[in-house]
Amino acid sequence: MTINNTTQASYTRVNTQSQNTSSANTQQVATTRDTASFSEAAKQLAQEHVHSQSGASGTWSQSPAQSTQQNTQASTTDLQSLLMKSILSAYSNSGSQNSKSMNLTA
Amino acid sequence: MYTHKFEAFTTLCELQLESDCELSANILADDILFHAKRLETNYSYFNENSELYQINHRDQNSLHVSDEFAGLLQLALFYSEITNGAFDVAMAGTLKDKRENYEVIIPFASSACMKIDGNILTFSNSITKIDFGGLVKEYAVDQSMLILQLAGITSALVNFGGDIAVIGTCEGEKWSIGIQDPLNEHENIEIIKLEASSLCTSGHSKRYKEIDGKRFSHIITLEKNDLKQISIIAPTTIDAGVWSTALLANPELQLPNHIKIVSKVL
Repeated sequence: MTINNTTQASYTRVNTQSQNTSSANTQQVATTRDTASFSEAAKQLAQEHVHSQSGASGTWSQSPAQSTQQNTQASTTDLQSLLMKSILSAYSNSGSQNSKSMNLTA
Repeated sequence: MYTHKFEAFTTLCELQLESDCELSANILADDILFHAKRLETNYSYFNENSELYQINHRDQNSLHVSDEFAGLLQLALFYSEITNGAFDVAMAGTLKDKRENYEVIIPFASSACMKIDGNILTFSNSITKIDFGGLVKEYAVDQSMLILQLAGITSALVNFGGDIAVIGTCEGEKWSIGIQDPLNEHENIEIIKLEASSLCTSGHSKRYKEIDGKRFSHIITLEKNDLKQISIIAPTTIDAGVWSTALLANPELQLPNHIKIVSKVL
């Protein structure tokens, strides 16, 4: 199954012989998410905020309405902070020459 | 694998996620939809109720903005600086739908005309406007992926109108993403195997306005070049989206090491 990446507003899903397509692996380590540290931070945040209301472990046991109403304010700020940390981390790890410009506050 | 589809940011959005609980998958999809709609509303250029609209139609040049707006603008200013102005939310906002008097307006179409200090946004003039169009959808994709990861999901795809982020695998295989031929929408020019990263494509061929028989791209480029479409892989969707837009405006930009061009159409 291949998902289409397009620049247009609508898109279609197409079936291709994805197993046989040429795939010189363009992926390089530097371009990937730092999933290890990212997941660790996410786990910590999840413990602090997301699951704090439910008392349950492992799943989001609240209804969507409860979940969004109770957690939106905190989680919006935390999500933004996590995102900025992730972006900054990518620039730091890539040894960007633009480090002088990195005045984001995560 | 659970699949959810909805509309936001005037485009089709799709989630695919691996979960052993349908209820959890549905709750996550609802949460992502809620945040996508919230971002779409809050940062709409045209919606009179959006925070952005209020700021663009201000009656004073120093304003208090929300925490999230301040963070987004910080990001936008950061990207404006590292792309040497090729990605500029003030240029996009100030020149949007303007087809004449360019020379008069251009000095105000720059991020240099505003600064953010905490929650205080100050403009140097009343003309400069902001358009988060090239940032918020990508931000929403990253936020969606974060929500999934926070909930313990390890394999998922988020696709908001072609701005794509993935983690894990699709039924044991790397995610397979087709990049559409800008000249033939029924064909893919390339298939990319994506793993724990994001892919965005920018081009002039799909989103444009036609005025008096002449096409105007949704991406404003002051200097013409031959690039029709470019696709970028990056660790975050914001990075992929910003750099694909910036490169379309200026193909000579030097890229940070973690940003990779995977496809170009001249």
